[in-house]
Amino acid sequence: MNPKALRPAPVQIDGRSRRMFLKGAGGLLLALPFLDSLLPQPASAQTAIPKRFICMKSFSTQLVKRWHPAFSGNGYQLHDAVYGGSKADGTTLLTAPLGGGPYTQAPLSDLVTPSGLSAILGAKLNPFVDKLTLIRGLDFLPTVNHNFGGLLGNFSSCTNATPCTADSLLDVPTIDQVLAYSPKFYPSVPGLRQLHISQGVVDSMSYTDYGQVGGAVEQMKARTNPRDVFNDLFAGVTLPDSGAPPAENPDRLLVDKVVGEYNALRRNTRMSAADVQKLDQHIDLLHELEMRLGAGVSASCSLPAEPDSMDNDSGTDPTDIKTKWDLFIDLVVAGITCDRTRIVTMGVHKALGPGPDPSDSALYGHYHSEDASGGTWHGLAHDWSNENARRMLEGINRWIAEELFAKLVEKLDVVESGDSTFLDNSLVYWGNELGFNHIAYSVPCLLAGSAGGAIRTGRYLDYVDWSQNAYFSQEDGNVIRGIPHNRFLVSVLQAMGLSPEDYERDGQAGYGSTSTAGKDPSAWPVNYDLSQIGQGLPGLGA
Amino acid sequence: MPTSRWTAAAPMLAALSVGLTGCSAELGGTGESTLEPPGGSVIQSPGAIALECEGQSEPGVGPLMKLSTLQYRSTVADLLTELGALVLTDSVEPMVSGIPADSTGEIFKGRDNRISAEHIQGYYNVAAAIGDGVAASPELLVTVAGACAESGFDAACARSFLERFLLLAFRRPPTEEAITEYLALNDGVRTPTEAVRAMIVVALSSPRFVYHVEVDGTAATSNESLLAVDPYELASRLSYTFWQSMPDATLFEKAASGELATEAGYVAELERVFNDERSKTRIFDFWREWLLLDKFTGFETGRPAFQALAEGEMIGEEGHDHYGDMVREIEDLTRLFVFDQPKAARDLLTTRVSVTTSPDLARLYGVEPWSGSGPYPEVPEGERAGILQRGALLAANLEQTNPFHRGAVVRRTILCESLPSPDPNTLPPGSLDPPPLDVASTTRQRFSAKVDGNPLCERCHGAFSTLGYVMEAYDSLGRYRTTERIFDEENGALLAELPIDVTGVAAIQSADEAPVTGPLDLNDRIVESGRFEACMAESFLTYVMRRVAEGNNLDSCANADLAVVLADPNSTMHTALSRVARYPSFFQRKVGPR
Repeated sequence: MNPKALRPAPVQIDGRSRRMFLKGAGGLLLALPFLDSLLPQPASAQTAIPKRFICMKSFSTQLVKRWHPAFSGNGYQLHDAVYGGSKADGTTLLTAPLGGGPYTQAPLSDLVTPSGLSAILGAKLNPFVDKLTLIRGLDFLPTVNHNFGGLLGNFSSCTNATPCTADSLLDVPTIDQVLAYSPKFYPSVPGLRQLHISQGVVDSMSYTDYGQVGGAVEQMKARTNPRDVFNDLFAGVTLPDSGAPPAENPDRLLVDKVVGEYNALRRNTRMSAADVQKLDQHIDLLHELEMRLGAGVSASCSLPAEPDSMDNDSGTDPTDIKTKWDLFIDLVVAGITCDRTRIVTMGVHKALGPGPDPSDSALYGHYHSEDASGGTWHGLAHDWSNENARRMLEGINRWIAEELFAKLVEKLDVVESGDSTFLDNSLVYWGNELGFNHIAYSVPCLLAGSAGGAIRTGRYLDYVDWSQNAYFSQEDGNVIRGIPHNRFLVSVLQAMGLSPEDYERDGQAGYGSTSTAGKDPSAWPVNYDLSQIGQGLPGLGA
Repeated sequence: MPTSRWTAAAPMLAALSVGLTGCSAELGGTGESTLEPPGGSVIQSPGAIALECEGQSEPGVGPLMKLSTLQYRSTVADLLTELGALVLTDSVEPMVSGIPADSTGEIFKGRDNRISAEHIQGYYNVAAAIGDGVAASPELLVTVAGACAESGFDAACARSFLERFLLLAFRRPPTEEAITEYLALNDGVRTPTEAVRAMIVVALSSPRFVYHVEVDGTAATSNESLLAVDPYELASRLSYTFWQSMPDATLFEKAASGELATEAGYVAELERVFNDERSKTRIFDFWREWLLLDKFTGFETGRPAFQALAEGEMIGEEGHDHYGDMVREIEDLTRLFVFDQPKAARDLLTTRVSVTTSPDLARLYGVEPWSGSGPYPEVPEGERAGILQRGALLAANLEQTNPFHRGAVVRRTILCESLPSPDPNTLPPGSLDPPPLDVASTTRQRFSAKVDGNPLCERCHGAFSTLGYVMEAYDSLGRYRTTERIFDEENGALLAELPIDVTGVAAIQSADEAPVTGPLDLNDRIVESGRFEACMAESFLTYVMRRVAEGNNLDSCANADLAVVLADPNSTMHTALSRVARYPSFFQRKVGPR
């Protein structure tokens, strides 16, 4: 922890109220710029510690057996000691009950070894086990293959290369977007409403309706150039001298003048009501821009250096991949700790990992595109029966665990207020596109942080109903009925302070599709208890 | 039967030359259009063709539209050119690329009028980058703002700069009030450099730059909500329709001189703009979006069965871009038939001309690649003809085709009919999964077995499945075939080779129950129906106007007229597609309710 890193004091304002004031004042304000910074800050905004949501996504298959602990001893045994057949999967059997039902849990500290929690969740996570939550048994209900937004609740993005039934499901925003446009999550927007990052693939995991419930849903693009990320977060932001008040950005005055032009146009009698609504939306967004430019940052905020512009491509140069991820993580951390944004998604389409020769210790670049040919990241997922392919996949994911996730967690674990760190007040979620080998059962979920105390951390929660049959298994995982992933989404939304009325749509409890259309009930679990679908995961909360 | 999106136009298409329901068109007719709305208002539109529409005198509502991101990008590039500031391209381009791309759930991305924080941030970043770039370079400051900017930037100097700069940014001369507002930025507190920068940042963030603001035209005499766009707005409509960018110097001159407000002057400018290289390039955006050419996500070259199917074709190998070649073929063919050797719309469906210069694609067609000069080769007679049977509209990801997908694309995209998407929640599990491989069955047999006899499926599938079955004459690579080879999915071994059936009742028109004999016969039926041309008319006008024609008004009247012109075998697409800028609706803006 770095006790010197203190939370900046962002300028807060209700942009909507201000716009209404501008409308009422008419053209007078064109000559008398009225700055947000002159308005008093709401008391609640001055005292509440904001929550943040960061989602990191890895791709294609995840080696379910190597992702989860395989620890025995100190009273723990492997599933193999109790079950035969494919349920004897070499992972740790938990016995302490969890939240009623057939679910189980264990403290992560019981399972940690010098080499980490598991083959993938390596030793660099060990210092943070008390702030982690490992969840097993989250099942995507819709029939799905490769997708972008499944882990955040949108299943509409099966690619044409791998058509799937879920492609026909109703588009819904991903939960990061529900948060992004929730006034509970963002009483006011401190800087950038959201940030999406990727390498290679520019489509993000995020789908948005821009807060217009029932409106068209659009997949958001990700930033692939560290310079763009820097500009999004810090363009126009200057760091004041130590002890001085936040520097004023002169462009705030210019934006104020621009707002005047929009207000003048909205008063034109040749603008329809719909046109005026469009201009109002634009004006609101200009106010957000104004706040980004003018909020400033405290002297304790460490502004990152402006990175060079870097092209995006489908290459796998390890230096390029690592350089960009290092920059991205530093920028994300700066964006969070300087309170320039509170929502980040990171699509890990590129990572480092071992090469095909087991004796070669060098790290190679890997790119997850739709190319399923052998040797590519995706191709390795297709080669699930090959131990060498699994070794490479394990190495790629361990690199993500230690060089991306652990680094991010470490850098966020600095004091924000009192005894709590930025990490404590955040929820950092590492999820995956699918489970093992393109199958969407027991999709991985590792959390860090407690979202300001909403989640009881330091535990391994197993929602697999081990009393059920194993429907299917391969070398890297098995399919036993777990719990709908929808309930995890509900947990996140509620941990971030939202209530059902803030996210439920069309009278449907919970969030996301519960359709299992396309699944043969004799081949896959489909008989989930949906009576609790509106509830979060049992036992996850504090 | 699925409902038609062009129901209003359909009846008249049975008698193409007879006239229009509710409208009548004088082909190639010119003359000033004087419309008499019900309220007694009159809009005079020099340059508009005389379309007589029964009782219709207003276009559909024209909402305030932002520049599409494509238009914004082109406009920024042209603005930098006009300012003599191309040197800033490298620093501005990353900012432009940060603006979300146009996208929409339907076709024609330009209709996406949504704005987001990323748009606003991007607009600011671009404006600031240009302002910073000018401010950082004394040479550029002089180029952009004049030599006087170096020596004090007095009021006269600032006014001179603003008159030129705001004309370019706002695409019309600034009002005196606007100049006064901007002169206030040169307040003596800011340095001259800072003042120029501030003017640039504000102007390029202004609604006059970011949106298509059309509020300066003349209102109809007793209808304030119906505006005749003024010459500068008309100049922008021309340039953005065909170039997707701002007017050039000539358009500004013609608007300023009043020539654009005369029929002869307007027609001459339309001809110049439409035949400009920018139009020839940009119009492919229409074909690409209409024909869904961006939707293909690539061949699954890692599958053993696909590799077996594509053996010898070098698909996916370095230096070979088969789908890129296919798309380029459509681009070259449409350009040839619209501009270089203008042809009628129906020729797009029936031509055997092969324009591809790609040996890879030519081999798939069994034809020699075009050398780049001289006569074009022709695809083998009896195998394929127009664009429906070219690779870009036939390519499939897997080794197996999907006739349902192909058929639905023809119904929806080529014939503009609405087909509801299946709701997985109302269907039994597995209903939407492709049928499993069967060595004893062709793809058609497997797919038809999945829906035949099931009234739940047949209700919709009856409208499009046969269209896909007819297109089974082509494999996933677009190669013509008379038999279908079945490969083992795991190892690519050839399991069977079965004869295929490409006949069936396609029912292009609902009353047509005569079976088609194959894909070429299907082309002829579509031509006979006039539905391809009607769909092209509807699609092109939607693309141009950035709105769907709804109700009975000048928009629908234009749709109907364009369908007739496109269906006329003696009229070329060159004539027809430029005609959209002569419809009365092109000269007017209908303001929505306040």
